This record gives sequence, C-alpha cells and structure tokens, in this order.
Amino acid sequence: MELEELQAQWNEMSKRVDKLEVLNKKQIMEITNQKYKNRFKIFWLYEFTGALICITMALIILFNLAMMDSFLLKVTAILLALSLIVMPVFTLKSLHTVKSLKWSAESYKTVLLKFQKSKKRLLNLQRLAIPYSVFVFFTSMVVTSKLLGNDDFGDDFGVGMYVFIAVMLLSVILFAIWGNRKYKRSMKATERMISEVECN
Amino acid sequence: MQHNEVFLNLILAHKGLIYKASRIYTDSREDQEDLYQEIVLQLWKSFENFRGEAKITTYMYRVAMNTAIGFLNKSKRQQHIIHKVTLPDLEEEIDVASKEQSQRLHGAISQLNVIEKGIVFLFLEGNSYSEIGIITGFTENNVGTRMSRIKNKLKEIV
Repeated sequence: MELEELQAQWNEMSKRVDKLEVLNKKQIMEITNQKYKNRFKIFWLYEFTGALICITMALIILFNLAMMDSFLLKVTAILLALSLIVMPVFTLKSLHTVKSLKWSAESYKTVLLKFQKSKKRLLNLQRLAIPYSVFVFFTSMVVTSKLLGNDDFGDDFGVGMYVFIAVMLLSVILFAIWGNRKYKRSMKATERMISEVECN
Repeated sequence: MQHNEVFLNLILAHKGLIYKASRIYTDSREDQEDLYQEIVLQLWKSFENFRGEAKITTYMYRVAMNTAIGFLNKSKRQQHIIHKVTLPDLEEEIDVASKEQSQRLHGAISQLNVIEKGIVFLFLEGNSYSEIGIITGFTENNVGTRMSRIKNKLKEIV
C-alpha cells in the first residue's frame, strides 16, 4: 500500500468522523466526574495492603529472631524477612512510575522509553517470581512453625508429605522452564523496542 | 464552571482527534471505547496544567498518544473504566466498498509497531515533520528517516 493511498483513505475517514456525534456534553462530564471511579486507586490499594501485610510479617519475624535457635534457622528467617520487604517494594515502585507520569508534559518518546524500561524491570522481576514463591513457601513453613512454638518441624512428616513436596518441586521446575522461554521472547521484543526508540 | 465549559467545548471540537487516536491503537471496539474514555479522562486531569504555551492540538495529541501507550501496557484490572460509554460505529452506515477500504486502512496500520503508529498517525493528521518532532520528542531528521521506513513497510503490505 502506498502512503498516498493511506492518506486518501484517512482523509475519507476523517470526514466521516467529523459528521459523527461521538459524545455529548453530559457523557463527557460523566467520564470526568460522577460516574468515574478510579480503578487504579483500588488496584493501588490492593497492592499497598499486600505490601503492608508482607512488611508486618517481616517485622514479626525480625522481632522474634531470638526464637530461632540455630544459625541456619536465623539465616533462613532473615532471608525470608528481607524477601518479604524487597518484593512488595519493587512492585509498588513500578506502580509509582506509571502513576507519576505526566501525560501532557512528557514526549511520546520519553513515555515509550519509560514504559519499555519498566516492562523490562517487571519481566526480570517475574523471572524471579517462581523461585521466590518456592523459597517463601518452604522457608515460611519452617519459620512460622518455629514462631508458633513447634520445635520438631519435619519430624512427623509421612510419605504423603514427601511425595507432595517432590511433586510440587517438579511442577515448579517445569513451570519455571516454560516461564523462562516466555520471558526470553518478551524480553527480546522489549529490548528491540527500546533500541528502536533510542535509535536516532 | 467556566473551566468545565472550556474543556467540554475543547473535547467536542476535537472529538475526531480522540476518536482516531483511540481507533489507531486498538483492535477491538471495546478497547477503543475504553481508550477513548481514558484519553478524555487524562485530558481532563491534565487540562489545568495546560498553559497555552503549545498549540492546543499538540497538547491533545501528546496526551492522547501517551495515554494509548499507558493503556497498551496496563492490564485490564489496572484500567480506570467502570462506567462504559458506547461510541458510534463509524462503519455502520457506509457502503461495502468504503467498509473494505476502512478495513484495509486499519489493517495496514495495525501491522506497524507502536512508534510507527504514532508517527504515521500524526503525519496522516497533516502535521509537518517538525510538528511531529515536537509532539514525539524525536528530531525532525529522525522523523523523516522513520517516515521513509514506514513508506517501505507499507509498500510490502498488500
């Protein structure tokens, strides 16, 4: 298709659009005022509440560090607490980037770059999500058990429990391999877009 | 009240710009309606910061196109829209030939990437390379280079 042909068709479409009554004043006001509910704020609230729960849990673990009676258990508890703080902070930071964008002041190029870079960070974060979940799942079982005063965690595991853990681990590994392939494809597309935006 | 009235008149005067911007970045009618509302909303939210230093259309293109990028990068649950507004169908009352033409037009544009879509949209709207540069942040020369690439890409699209 030639650009001239595209231009002619575009002009035709523009004429038709100009004749349309797209929205009336009442509908515009509805969008801007009464009928508008900020779903992003709700989404933000969910994430914020989640982060608050994680940080509270991390603080509980850190305040009760003395209850962890072996070096290994202490290290596990500290790592769990740190991971409970770091991940939600990353998520909130990524949301803040989107929220703080000034749509009328930034150029298309800047906004595109910011979004692609934020997408890249998010993809990296998602790549960590699977091992992170496994880590949190197992360490939280051990640490919570200790916090609740159970000193013999693991001693009464039956065959069923070991089979469950093995199946879970295998599923996680398979899921991680699949996720990693998807990650590589998305990352390649994102990096290509960043270099295309930056190219002068 | 006067502020509202100025805004309403602005949206009504440039309804086509918003309609076309929302059409060019979306594939489905539902997404187009959502993006249309999102653009109106973002224009409203940024309207008080508009000082009149740039042309009103420059400001509107910028907000519309930036909102489209944000829209394409958000998941459904992150979007603002709860109350739906239905937009009229542009292809409802046209003859078969015009309908085919319109589909060909959007089919060709849909094969361009998001940078190319933005540039070609502004070009088709009659903006000069220099104006496109101001809106997009690319240099005038870069816009020219990108337009040549877009022309070649379009030639390959049947």
